[in-house]
Amino acid sequence: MPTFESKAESQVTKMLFLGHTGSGKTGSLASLGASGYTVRILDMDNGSEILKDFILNPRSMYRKGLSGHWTDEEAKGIEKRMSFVPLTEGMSYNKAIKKFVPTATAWEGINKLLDNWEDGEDKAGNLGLWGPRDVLVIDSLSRLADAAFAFQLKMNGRLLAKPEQGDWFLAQGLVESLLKTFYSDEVKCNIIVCAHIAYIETDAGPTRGFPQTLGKALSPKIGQYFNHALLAKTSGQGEAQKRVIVTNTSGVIELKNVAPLRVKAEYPLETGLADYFRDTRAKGA
Amino acid sequence: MTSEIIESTASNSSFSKLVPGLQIAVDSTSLGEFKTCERKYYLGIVLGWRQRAESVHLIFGIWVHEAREIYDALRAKGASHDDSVDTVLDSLLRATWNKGLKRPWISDHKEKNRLSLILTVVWYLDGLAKEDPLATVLRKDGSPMVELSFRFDSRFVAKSSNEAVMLCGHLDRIAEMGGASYISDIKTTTHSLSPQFFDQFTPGNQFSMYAIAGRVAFGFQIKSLIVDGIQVGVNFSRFQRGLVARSEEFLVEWLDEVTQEWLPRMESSAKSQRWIANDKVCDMYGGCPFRPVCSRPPSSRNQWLKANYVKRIWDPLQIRGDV
Repeated sequence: MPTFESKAESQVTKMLFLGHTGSGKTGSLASLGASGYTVRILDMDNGSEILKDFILNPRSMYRKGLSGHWTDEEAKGIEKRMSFVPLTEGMSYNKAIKKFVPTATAWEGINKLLDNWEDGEDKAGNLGLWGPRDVLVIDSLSRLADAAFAFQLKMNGRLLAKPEQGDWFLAQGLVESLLKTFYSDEVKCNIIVCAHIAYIETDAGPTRGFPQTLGKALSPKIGQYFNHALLAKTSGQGEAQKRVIVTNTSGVIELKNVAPLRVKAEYPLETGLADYFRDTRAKGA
Repeated sequence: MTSEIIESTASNSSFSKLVPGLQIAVDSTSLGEFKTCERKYYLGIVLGWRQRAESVHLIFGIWVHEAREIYDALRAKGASHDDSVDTVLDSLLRATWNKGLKRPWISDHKEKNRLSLILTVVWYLDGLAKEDPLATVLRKDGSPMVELSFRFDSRFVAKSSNEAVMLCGHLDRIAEMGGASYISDIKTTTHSLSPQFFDQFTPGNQFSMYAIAGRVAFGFQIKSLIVDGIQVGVNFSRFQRGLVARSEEFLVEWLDEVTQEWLPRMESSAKSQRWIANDKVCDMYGGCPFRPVCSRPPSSRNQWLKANYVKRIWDPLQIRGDV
């Protein structure tokens, strides 16, 4: 039986990264690239543009060492290590019915990439082959769920018809199944699933904030597939206002981390993810 | 016992002629029966006993499958939807007509009967098959990949006879959507098409074997199956398609258990001529058809079988797909 003394700190992070639109989730990923991780983003929100300046601008803090956070050596080559694949759900115009119809190809696109990641010269292969210095980012869970729903409707020939109840729960099942895969020990790389927040009234008590996904039934279950749930938010007011990543439960939003005594309650957004990754991997207290 | 086994399996190509009762071509039904209860497997698969009255669910399901198969074959040849449905209906009406008794098939099941079969098939073909986003894969000769018989080496060799054991069976259909390949299957039920309906297929013997067959026997990178769930009600039918995933990791585990554990156990039972009863499952799966047999003293079971059951050979190596 393993003891806590013999158990090594996990070298991979499977994280649910919560935050409202504009809270800085996507931009904060740059710190991971700066600290030497290879970050591949499935951009379903069409929001990776923000990273371009962080990565390519010669004046960017992410292109050189930053004392206490990352070294010159780690930051070198960030532009090669950070990439994104846009996977937004398209619409096509159907002349016969004079309506725009979703192409419903994103879900299949996601699965194809996870099965064999080929993005230009980057041929990372199956997700199961990625290692602890790789990070897969799903940006975002809401759009991922939309893609699953569109796939479910397409499969049933109901893209133009009213969805049936079964379509909802089967699409939820698709999302849950993918999250189970991410959670699996067979996936040995880091996973970050960015999620917007939906406030849902629960049977057990008052309204709480959950990751926004499809319907209300799945959202409260999402957290169980992650050991880390962090929140990007704006803290303070006026000149004291700052953007931070919060690691402990905040108000009605349940957060969690694997090392409550090692990690800080808050991290600055700009460097937070890199620092959090470092702190959770550190040995001892 | 041994002579009865030899006689029962003499014309069954899926059984060894060297070791009585050793199945050397195993399909998901046989394997599933063995996993459920060795005695059920022995009575139904090895000896080939079955109830006189075939299960209405089985008959109904077979006809729905055949309807889709005929439909796909006609559409692949260029027939229109309406013409194909007409032909399917003609075929179904003939199949459900008992020429000897000059009367239609009579079902005492309130949901699954001749009328509901016809209505279900028409609604299903109009609703899901007419402009099916899940396109049936066509072979080079233009024929559709439907009702596909398969067999492949399990890599388990029976030590007692040095015979290689095959895994075999029949797939409904291989189809494509968005560049991905799927095995498509139809399942009818009288229950609602709830999450539990689709959950029952994972883990599941049949679909795991199908997914491996899709890869090994037909060369498609099958990662999921798609089930056309059909709920048959008294005055309605509902349809819901669902994805049933089979990851690489999952399939490796399944195949490993089959070749390392289940097939050796099947051989062991044949060698010892002993198929033990699992009396914890008699009530499961709608109740075992052999419960009346097992409830009787061993000395009177054979007599009961002969009086109340009929024999039919369960030979999964019989090739289908001749529509």
